[in-house]
Amino acid sequence: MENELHRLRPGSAAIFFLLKRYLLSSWMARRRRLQSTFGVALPIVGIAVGVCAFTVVLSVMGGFVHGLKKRLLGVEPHIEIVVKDGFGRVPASAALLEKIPTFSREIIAVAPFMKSDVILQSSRKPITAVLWGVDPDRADAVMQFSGYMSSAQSQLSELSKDSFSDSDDNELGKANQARLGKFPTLFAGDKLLEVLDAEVGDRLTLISTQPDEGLGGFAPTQQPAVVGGSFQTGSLTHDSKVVLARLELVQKFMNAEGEWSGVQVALKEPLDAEQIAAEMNKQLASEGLRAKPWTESNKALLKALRLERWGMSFVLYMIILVGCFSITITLVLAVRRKAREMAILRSLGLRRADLGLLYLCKGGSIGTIGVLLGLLCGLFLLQLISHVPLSILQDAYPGRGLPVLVSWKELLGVSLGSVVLSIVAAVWPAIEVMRIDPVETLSDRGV
Amino acid sequence: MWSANEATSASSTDLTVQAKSQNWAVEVHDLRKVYSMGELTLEALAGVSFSVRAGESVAIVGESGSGKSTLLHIVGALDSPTAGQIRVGGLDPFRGTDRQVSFFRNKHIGFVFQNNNLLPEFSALENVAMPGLILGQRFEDMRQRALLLLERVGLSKRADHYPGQLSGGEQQRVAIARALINQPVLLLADEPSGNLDSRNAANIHSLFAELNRDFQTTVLVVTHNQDFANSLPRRIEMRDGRITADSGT
Repeated sequence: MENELHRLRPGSAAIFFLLKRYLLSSWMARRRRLQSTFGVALPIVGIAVGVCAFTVVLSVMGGFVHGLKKRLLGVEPHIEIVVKDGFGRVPASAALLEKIPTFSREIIAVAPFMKSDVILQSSRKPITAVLWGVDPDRADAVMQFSGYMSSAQSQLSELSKDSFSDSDDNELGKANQARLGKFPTLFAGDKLLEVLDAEVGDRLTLISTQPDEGLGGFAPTQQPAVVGGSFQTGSLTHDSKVVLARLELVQKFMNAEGEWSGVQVALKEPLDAEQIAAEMNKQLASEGLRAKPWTESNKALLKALRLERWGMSFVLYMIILVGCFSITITLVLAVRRKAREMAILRSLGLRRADLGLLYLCKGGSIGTIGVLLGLLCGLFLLQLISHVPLSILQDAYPGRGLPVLVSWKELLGVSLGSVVLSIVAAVWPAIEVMRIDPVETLSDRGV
Repeated sequence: MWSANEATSASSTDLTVQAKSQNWAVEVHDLRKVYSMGELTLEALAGVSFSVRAGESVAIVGESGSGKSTLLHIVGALDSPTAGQIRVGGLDPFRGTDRQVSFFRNKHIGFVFQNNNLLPEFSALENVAMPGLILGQRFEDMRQRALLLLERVGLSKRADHYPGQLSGGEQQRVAIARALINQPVLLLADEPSGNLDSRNAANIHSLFAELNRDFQTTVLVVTHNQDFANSLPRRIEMRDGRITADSGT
């Protein structure tokens, strides 16, 4: 018979019944107990406001940072493989191009490149620029330049080595061919053309900054060329400085045939560049090469953005924490107010642990309702601000709403974190309710 | 109508059967309870011994502070003794963990307090069903039994009313129905008519007599009401934590 005392007793039905009543239903029955209803609503609103703010602020920040990174990245490769000491060139090798993609599954494209400072001379004025030599067959997969072309020519493959003959069917090409004869073509940034006071079809002269020894002594190498197209990447650095030409032309111009400045690598996820570059470096070190992630040249800015995001997350978590404090206060007050009811439940056979569990569930439920409410409000607000243009931001985002990037992974983390915090916030009330002495309370000697 | 036969035959516990076979519902031996408040000590129970047969109705009377309520709380496993032995239905409730003692209180004890102590946010029906829910039953399963008990105490039409919508006498009748929902081996009542007018008090007294007769539940009542005490078959008198008279011995 003693075994009967040791039988497990499921009290979950009662806990669920009590929880449902205390939180959700029978508002009619509680008409005269508005204080109790208000007491539960307050922390729910607190959590909801915190989660809503988190959703909106981080998504707007995400959208802003995404846009910024897109601009920063522009046509930059995610990783550049160059010689280890930073000077000198990589020997051109088809084997290297085949080997690099085997370093990581994240690598989606590779392309060799040449890069050199040049002076660009139009009929009106000279200007310094950066000459990029690209392999039209491979470079687009790494830099997506064709997507940024603003002139009639829209493919890197239109870059011709020595004449316009490749684009004979193009009206502009025919006209220029007739006017200028056979010259290699260049693609230039629209801002660069603006400064040069030149346009598509104009003839330019490339002048090397490294003099070459000729018959009359040292003299800079010169190469006439024609502007075959223009691009607009949105990055001022590229649009005002870069001219593109065929890789072979630049190699010849720089007297570096059989050499590359390096190899550009495109990844599935640009933000993993640092980690993948580190892995690649382990294998490239023996060949005297080094993988340089795109983040290396923007480290300070990216660090500042990350810090700002952390700071913002901290502030927003503080808002949620304040909401959780209100759960603690509300539930502690509820324990005091309902001490007699809790003592009755104890006298009816509810365990101390059941009462504690009831309050933990109450905290968790308040948190869950608050989180769901906050997410709904936050997502609704995001819809609104991403579609409705804001007059104060017309300069930055003319005619459209704010850019928004919702990170579901982050929102899930925040939501789960908030529910856990809500449960933690209910620990003290749970301990308080477990301390209630039913005899003291029911005999009016105590609370 | 939930008949006494249904109540005792359909779901009587092993404990009830055992209690009946042993014929003792409550056995108390040299029970002591001392409250300590710093250097001060108060001996609420100073060696109380008595036994109650299964199905018996006993009134415990005495002046305020004589230890009646303390005795009732300890017998109901709501409070623990400082010393002494106690067995209810053959079980020692204090030999288990909080889980086991709570189960004992839920399954085998029914409490009726002076202030009815109903849960204000639950209807009469829900209040009556609550001990069943704590036992692990579903509300739908308890509804019918709770309705039968409310009918038995004359409140079937007030099942959906909340405690605030019931009179003092009605609230106390709901509390009695709640105490019987799990068919306990022992019904403990602490001044059940203490806050009622004479008419309602008389109704409650006769209800206790009927329930004891119909359900064969052992009843232990602490009361100041001499008429009520005299109406019960056995009477235990207490003073200063001791039993001074017991009509059952």
